[in-house]
Amino acid sequence: MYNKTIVCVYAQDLLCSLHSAYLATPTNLKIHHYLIFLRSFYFLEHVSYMALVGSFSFNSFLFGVLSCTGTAFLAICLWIQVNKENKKFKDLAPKRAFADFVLSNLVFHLVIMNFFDRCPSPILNVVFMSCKNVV
Amino acid sequence: MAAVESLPPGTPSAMRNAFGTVLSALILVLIGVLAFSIRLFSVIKYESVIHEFDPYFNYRVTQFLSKNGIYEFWNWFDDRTWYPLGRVIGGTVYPGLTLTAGTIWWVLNAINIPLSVETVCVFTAPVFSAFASWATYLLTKEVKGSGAGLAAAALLAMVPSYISRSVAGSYDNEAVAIFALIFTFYLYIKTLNTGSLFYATLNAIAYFYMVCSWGGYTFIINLIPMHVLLCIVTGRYSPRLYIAYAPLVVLGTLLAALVPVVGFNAVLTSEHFASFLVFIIIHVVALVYYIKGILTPKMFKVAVTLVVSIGLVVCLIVVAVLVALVASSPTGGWSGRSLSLLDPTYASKYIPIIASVSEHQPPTWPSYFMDINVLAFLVPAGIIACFSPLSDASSFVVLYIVMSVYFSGVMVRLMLVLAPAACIMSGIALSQAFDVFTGSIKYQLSSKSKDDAEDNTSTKNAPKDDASSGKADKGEEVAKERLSKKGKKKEREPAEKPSVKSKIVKKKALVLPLEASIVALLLLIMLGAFYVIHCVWAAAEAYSAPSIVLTSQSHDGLHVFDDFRESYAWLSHNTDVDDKVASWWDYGYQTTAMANRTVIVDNNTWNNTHIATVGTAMSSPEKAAWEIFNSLDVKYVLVVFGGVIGYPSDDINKFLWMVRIGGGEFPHIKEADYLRDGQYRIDSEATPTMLNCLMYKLCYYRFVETDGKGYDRVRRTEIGKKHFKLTHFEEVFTSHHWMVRIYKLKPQKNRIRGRVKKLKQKTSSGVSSKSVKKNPWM
Repeated sequence: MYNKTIVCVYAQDLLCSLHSAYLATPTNLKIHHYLIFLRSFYFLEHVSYMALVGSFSFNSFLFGVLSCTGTAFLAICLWIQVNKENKKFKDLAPKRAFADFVLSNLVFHLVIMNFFDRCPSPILNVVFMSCKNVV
Repeated sequence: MAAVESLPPGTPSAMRNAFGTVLSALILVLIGVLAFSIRLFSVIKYESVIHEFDPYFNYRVTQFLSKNGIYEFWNWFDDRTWYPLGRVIGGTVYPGLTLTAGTIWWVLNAINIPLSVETVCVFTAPVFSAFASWATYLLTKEVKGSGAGLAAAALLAMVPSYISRSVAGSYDNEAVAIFALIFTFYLYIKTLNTGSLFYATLNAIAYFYMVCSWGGYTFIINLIPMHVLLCIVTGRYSPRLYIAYAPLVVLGTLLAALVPVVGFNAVLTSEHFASFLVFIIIHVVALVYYIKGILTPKMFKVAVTLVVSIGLVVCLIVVAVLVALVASSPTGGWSGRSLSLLDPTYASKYIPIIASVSEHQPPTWPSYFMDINVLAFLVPAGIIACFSPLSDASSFVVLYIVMSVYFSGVMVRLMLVLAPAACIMSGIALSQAFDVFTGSIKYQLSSKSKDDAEDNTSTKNAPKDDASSGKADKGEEVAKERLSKKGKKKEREPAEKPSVKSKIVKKKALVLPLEASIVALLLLIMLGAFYVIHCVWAAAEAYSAPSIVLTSQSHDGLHVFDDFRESYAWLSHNTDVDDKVASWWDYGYQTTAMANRTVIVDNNTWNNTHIATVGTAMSSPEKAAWEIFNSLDVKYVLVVFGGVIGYPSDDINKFLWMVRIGGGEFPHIKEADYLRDGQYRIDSEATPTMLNCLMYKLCYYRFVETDGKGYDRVRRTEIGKKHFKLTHFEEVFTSHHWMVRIYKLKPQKNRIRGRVKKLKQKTSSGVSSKSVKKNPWM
């Protein structure tokens, strides 16, 4: 019992200190973190959907999963490069980092479009198919 | 580098820097020309022809691509091979090589340079080897500097192991894939060094090109995770590592899944699991570092204990699920070829076809010296040079060479992956050695002249101090020169005497005596000369044979044996377009490409049962073989026979594989029936099964007419059965030196006389009732 209470106290302390340390990060980075968190959430949702319903269209499963993860991780890379506390990246201009981010996202979406094979509405389906063929 | 760039132009060091850049550019151009021209021996000695077997398939695919366009190419179903099964070319070929050559052909034709597809195919490999040596320069420059880069590029341009797979005419996947491999590694190291997301994207695209080109891309996707793990474990984690690795895995897996050959294997097979595992690990490590950064140390310890206890439980669950998934497949998720790399005895036990290919045998010790020559003992020196100082990039190169040495020990074919690693290491070693020796010579020479000058001055107050400070000057300049790139930066800044003395004391110890340095330099240059001589010899004599044209020197001049092309031309001119030709699988690609006839089995060897059918037919007596071939609609049978001229790779020498593979599928073929005292013999001691089988009969039919005794030059004996007739086959073509022999299946007789038919029915039913259960063909 004694140990458990100590652990609980420690856990609370930990959470408090994490919270206070986190508040110190600038606002623009917090937006970043929120987006990354959102994408990870969607990723988990997609995986659980597949586990429940079965991977009928493996293409669309891959598309959903990997688009979430891909954009999340590219955002993480941008975060790393933009974070002012990161000593090694002081000489990298934020605009250059953002341009790299845009380029890599462009390539990533060009690639992921090839996996997209179905869409709920038939009209949208036609639109997306034609986009895919163009790409 | 930064100090030099800030110097105003026109100063001596900036001039020297510019001169150095121009010189190294010139050297690179010369290296490219060297790499291209050393591979042209076969074109000069023979002609501009495509070599071997596999390149003919690639050539045929490229012809199709250039004629019909890319959409037809993706959807191509080839019905002229593996009759009656066919082969989906679009989904089973690595498209990188054919698309590259097709693009080059298309671009050249668009600007009105009318090169034929064959010329483009023949010269693709030398061009890409020039690119590969430039990529080696870039890679080694990232690791150690441009001096080492130039040395490594020069070594790669000539290394015999790479020449063997990229001569002019060897139009195979490795010609392009080695360039893609080195370029991908260069971009990875560049991303690791700079931490820029731009290079990470380029890295993923280069990896995509590698996946398109060769099945050996699994080497990259396993080596890079291993290196990341190594960096994490040795405490070298940094955000640059994350940026180098995470986009590569995500983008790279996606791009790999786009290539039809790989498809969903990119996420489902065990060859890729290492990359996912390390992906998860690097995220855990990144999270740990992030939390460590924002917490106080005491809180961090609490967090660690909490997380470890919870995380361990979660980890165990995940690992259990994964192990269950992997164990559910019989090979643990690995493909047969990869498994034979990890366990070298796997192929010989379970997949005799993989074991039978000569390229898949382990190499012998002499072949190491033949293929990488002098580099074999420069590599350890390079490994040591990489450890001082150890950076991320140099640890990667060390890991690369260790892994490639292991894999080259498993398969001769993978010596090709060892070659770039060996060249990089040797380039580093050579460059460091040259630096030390030339630095020593300069120091010794300049210190001698400085000593003479200082002896004359006696007016200074503290001659000892001045002498030591003078030496300190020289020492510091020499130290700076030694650390500089080859012939580029020479900073002659006046030294700050007291502060650098401690550094100089350390560096002075690297200076060698003058005579030793000069002798060592000369020896190194001689070593390089021996290397060059060996490489040129290997390129000219050993690796330039096209193997479709054979030559031999004898006392009355040069004999050329062009039998293969002669017989394929005969086939294409004297048979119908839809006739099917049966031969052993070695000749399938050449037959479809040059003779343009449908074949039963070819070099792709994807269907073991089909090959076993052909092998059974070749090992059975004439009637049984005729039945098998007739059921496959075969009209012509082609065998290769080397007994007249002494050509050792003929079908009789390959016969043991026909028996083994056939016997693996059809149990009525027993290897023991063909062996006498454990050997395959064709002389009078041969077993009756051997003397009656189709291969023996087709090879030795009318052989006794050549010299009256039937002396086989390859097996060095006279043959056993000399005079016999063929009942179910008729000979239609034998080439000039009896190397290729083509037979036609005789059609069934229209009628058999009545009484004989009844007798035949009685006897055949009586005789065959015993064997009808065993032999599925009768």
